[in-house]
Amino acid sequence: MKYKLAGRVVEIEALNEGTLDIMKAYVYEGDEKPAFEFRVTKDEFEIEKEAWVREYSSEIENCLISHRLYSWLLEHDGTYLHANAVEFNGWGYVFTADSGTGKSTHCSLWKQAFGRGRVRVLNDDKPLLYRAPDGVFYVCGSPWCGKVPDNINSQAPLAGICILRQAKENTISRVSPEKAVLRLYEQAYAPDSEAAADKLFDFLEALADNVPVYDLGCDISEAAARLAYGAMRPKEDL
Amino acid sequence: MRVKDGFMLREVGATKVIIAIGAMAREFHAIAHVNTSGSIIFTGFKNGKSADDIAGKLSDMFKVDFEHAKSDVLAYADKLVEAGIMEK
Repeated sequence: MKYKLAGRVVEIEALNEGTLDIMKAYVYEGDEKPAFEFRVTKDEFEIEKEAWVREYSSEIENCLISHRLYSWLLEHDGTYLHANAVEFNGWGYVFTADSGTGKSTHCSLWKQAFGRGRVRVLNDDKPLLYRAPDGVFYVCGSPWCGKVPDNINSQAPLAGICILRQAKENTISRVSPEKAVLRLYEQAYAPDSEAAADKLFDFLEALADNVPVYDLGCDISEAAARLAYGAMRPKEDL
Repeated sequence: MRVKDGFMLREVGATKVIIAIGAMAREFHAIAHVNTSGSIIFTGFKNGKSADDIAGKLSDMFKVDFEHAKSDVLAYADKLVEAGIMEK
């Protein structure tokens, strides 16, 4: 079955109904040839099942598929980021932080502040980021997300990335590209080789040079969402 | 003493960091910042050099006596062991 993920057509053969179900929103029916194809073999599945010592077949297969895709993406100018990403007025906004900081809460505040129908969550846990051949960075949905599925098959040019932290007062400031790379590395796909780590750093360096990254200290208020949007909003979105 | 498998040095702008990769990244997700001497010591041990080899290099580079350099190398290696990056 062909799917469109991170702007590329890929062919993935899944064995499990549960896997097919979570990926169905990303099915691609056009004529473009896949840039990447793979299938999860029964052997791979059994090996992984042993390692997990659990019975959730679709979870195991999802894990195998997503990791294979993430590794491939790293070779092709992309990665996932542990983050929550929303689309608003045609632009993508990404909020990254350690688990439990309040990424989803902050994105709910965007919906509250700007309208539920206007702010759409692209992915609430691991959105995909990639650089298109024209150099524009995009954030997009992917089937692999948090415990309560919240993702859509859509993408938007990246307006900015916030590194979120809890604070009593709402503040936002730009982070230097150098610091941004190191902070984003900690939330990106863990590379499995030195060559892959170099690829990830190259991608993050290009990302931080082209997309503004901010430190956002925020409380749980609509004012926090408005402050973030005001700072991150591109000039074209006035 | 040796650097455990799964650690590498990377420069980001003027900053030098030690990062974990592969299976090690699941245990060690933080990034360790190192200075120039630290990067030389880490790279030396990673490439299989002895404390004496590394101390000799530092002694030449920074014009300090060999014994002083060696005690710095060993003290730094202890810190890397404590951080889980090296093992004895």
